[in-house]
Amino acid sequence: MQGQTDNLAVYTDFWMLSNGATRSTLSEYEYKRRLVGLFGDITLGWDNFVYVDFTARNDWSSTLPKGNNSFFYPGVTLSAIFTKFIQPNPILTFGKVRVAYGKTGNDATPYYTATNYTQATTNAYYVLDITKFPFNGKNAFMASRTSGSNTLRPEMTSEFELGTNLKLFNGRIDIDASYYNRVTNDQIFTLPVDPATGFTSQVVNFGKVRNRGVELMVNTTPVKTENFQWDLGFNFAKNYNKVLSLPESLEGGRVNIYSFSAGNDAVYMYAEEGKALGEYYTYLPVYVTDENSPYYGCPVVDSAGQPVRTSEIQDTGFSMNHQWTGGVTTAFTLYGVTLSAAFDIRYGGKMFSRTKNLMQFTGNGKVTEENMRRPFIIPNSVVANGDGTYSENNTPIYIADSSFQTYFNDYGYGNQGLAYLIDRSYCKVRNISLSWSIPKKWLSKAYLNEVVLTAYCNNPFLWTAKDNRYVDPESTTVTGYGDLAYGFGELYTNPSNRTFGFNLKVNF
Amino acid sequence: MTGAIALTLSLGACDSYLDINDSPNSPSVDKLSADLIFPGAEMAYANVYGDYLAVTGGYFAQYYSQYFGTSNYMDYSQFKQAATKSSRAYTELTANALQNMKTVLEKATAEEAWGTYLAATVIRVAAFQALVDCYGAVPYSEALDINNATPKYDDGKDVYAGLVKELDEAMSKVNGTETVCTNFLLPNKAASEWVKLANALKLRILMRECGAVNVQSELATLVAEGNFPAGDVAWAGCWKDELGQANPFFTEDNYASYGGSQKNMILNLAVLATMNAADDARLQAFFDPNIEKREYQGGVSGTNFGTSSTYRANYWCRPHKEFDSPVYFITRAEVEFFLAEYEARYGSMANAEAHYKSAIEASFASAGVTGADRVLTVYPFDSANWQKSIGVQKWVALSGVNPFEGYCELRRLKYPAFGSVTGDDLYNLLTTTYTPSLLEPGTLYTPIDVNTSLGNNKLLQRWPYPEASANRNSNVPEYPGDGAPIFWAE
Repeated sequence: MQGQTDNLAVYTDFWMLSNGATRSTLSEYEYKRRLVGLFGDITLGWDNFVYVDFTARNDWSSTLPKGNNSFFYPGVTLSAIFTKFIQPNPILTFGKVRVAYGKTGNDATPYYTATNYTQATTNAYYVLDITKFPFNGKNAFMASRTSGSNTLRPEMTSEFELGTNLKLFNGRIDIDASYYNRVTNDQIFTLPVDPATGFTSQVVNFGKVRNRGVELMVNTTPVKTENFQWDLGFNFAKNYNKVLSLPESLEGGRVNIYSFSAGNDAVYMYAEEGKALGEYYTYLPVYVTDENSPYYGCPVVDSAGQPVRTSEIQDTGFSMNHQWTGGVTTAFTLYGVTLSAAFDIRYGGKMFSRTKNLMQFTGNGKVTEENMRRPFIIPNSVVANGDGTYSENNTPIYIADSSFQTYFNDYGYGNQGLAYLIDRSYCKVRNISLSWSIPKKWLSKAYLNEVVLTAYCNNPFLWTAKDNRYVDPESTTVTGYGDLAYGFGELYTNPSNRTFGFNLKVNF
Repeated sequence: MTGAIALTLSLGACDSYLDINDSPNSPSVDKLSADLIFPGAEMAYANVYGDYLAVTGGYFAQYYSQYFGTSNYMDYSQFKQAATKSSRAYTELTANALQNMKTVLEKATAEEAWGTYLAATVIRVAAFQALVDCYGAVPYSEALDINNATPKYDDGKDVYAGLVKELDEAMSKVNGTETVCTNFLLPNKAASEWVKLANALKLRILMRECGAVNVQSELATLVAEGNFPAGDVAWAGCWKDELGQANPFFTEDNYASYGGSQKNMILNLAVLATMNAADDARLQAFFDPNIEKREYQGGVSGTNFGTSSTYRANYWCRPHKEFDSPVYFITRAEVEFFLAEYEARYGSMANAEAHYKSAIEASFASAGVTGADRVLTVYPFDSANWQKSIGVQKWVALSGVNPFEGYCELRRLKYPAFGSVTGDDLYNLLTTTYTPSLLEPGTLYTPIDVNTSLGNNKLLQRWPYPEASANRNSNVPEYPGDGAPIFWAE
């Protein structure tokens, strides 16, 4: 149960609903889910060399349709420590290979199997809940905008993994490498539909998405003496994502996972069969495509001098996925004092930034300083004559008639919807910490086993791509859509925090 | 054996143990009566009709232009509409009003509650007519079926034909004494009042399309019966001075505690000049005088006078709205104007003139002011150009009452027509010189920075298909362009 009231007399320091100057609203919500699982596990080992592990699990869930709510998922892993059969040598001191195949099933969020009713309300363009029930002394209910499904199936992910773990020079170099191929089938998702169907979204099983790639982790200790040690680690991963198939009703088509639209713009993120998940579509600028025209390649504007956009949204060629990810960890330890740092690098991909777009609207964005805000004609721009030919554009854009603001806000300063997308790459220092493990000989008198003092800073530094002067690419405001839509981008996000802290660990 | 029985029993118990997925936060629709669904759907339609359609209709019909220094609706004042802007209104009309009215119709049919069935049909038909009047085509025959995620769009002409049939069918099932479920439009009234309203709606549909489709015989029967509401039918008396409970137009543009800074609409010079020529007292009822000198001044479409140092916020006149202003469904004046037009087309000019006079008088009565005779002197009924007479006065009458209907009829009757001056003549952006006297009363003018796909002397004839549909439904038709008239305006 949840209550809300507004306009509290904050200075009274009294935090209860009765302190509000508006009538308190109470809401209640109940949420119950039951999952019964039966799990079995057998591990067989032979001669400390080969291990085989079988798992089997069956779940019954309340959140799937009655009569169809059971799902089974097994797994098997085979691993072998092959260094048993080679001469002990100082270089390759340990080596293991493993191969695994397993399935994991997942059920739905509760209450997705039928269409639910909520207290009626209606929204206007700028105001939500402009007319809200109870209204005029009467109550009413309306159908939820999401249509439930009584043919929902559980999600099932199958993963194949091949990996190896090698230790060289007695652990001075530790290598872990793996290849994985993971197919997620029937992901449960709310699919946006034409509201003329009576609903704005429909619960469906999504289709098949494949993620496959490699992961590599190398941990080394380049320097190790009695009092000083330097640890250095690298990790690298490359993932290839592809939509293998889509729901039956959209065979071969595309599904809109998430979108944003304001004013005349709209940016969509699609899942399209045969492409990576999370392809951005938006209205693009129009250029002269006639190779014979003297103005080939020039941007086309209208008679008001403003850039023309495509009449329908187009594939931008950009997706939300990083090309590769990696990181570095390092630590120096001297006489029990350790200074460590961890870096993360993500390269490639684009994201949607509403912050950037808003800065264009308000004029805060650096891009709006174009030509020092003096009037200008869009360089090389041409106007269509209507008969397939073009003429040079002579209409300037200037502040006095608001065309300058319109150029930035409505037309993405010539980039149309592309102006919303920024490069998602970044390099972050995740953590720097300095810790001191108090020497044991000082502790024994106090009957303590271990005391470690740590000072740390989380999220100290961030470097972003050149066109991203706006946000931390890790910030996202899209939640509630499972893994599918989290990567869309941000809508008025707050800056991320740099945290300083101090830690004391005591072992008795 | 016992093990097998035990296992089966436990599995059976397991089934009911897991049978908890009916949301406790939702009533079961089987147990909801029409009384608990109708009001929500009805107010969803009232909200769209009384707010979004009134605002857009107001700008596109040159009743409103943009307030000094704000810019939320600058594009509407330049006769521009975008696919993304009408999406929410489309969603509220379809996924809220129409979907929930469908449930009411199903329940009313099951219980043979034909009064409720008629009332739900009236709202449903009104919603579909509004959709056709905006977009020209809309899903109708394949709509409201979640198993068809990509319903095809039906031509406006076919939808109108279907709507008339629905109204006839619903009216045939009642004798007039049936009760109707809880509602705010005609509270506690029997089906007979709804029949009158249904007739008025049918009149609006048939008269709207009579220039494109031959419906003369249906109109003759309807007019001969003459069973129309005697006064205005509106959502009135149900509003409160509270957020979420007030007139939606007022909430969006006036409500101090919500949007004190959201002022957008001001009186447009076009309708001011037309009303001033006849010293039309309705001006005082529809718009507030300016703060600067308690005078009336008209804004110019396409600009918000943002760079002017003379014509600033206090120079302009806001639409007169209160938290409890009615949201009109249809007014008596509209019925009279339709009857006047019917007579002018198919009957006698004398009758047409009589209905024209009644229409203007009804409009004055509804506005609560006197002086209809001044208007009748300056704008008399001209049987040689009845489209102009009816067009101009209907446009004026609707300016304070039902701007969306005004926008529809303006497109159809094509009067008031464009005059010889443009917005740039009336207000020069670079020199900030404002010359309102140039505008001839009873004419429109091309907005400053007008929608480039329309050009001069053209109205915005239709809206791009809403983004919520166009980007999710592969059956959306090709957009014919901002200047392509809806079938009833051809």
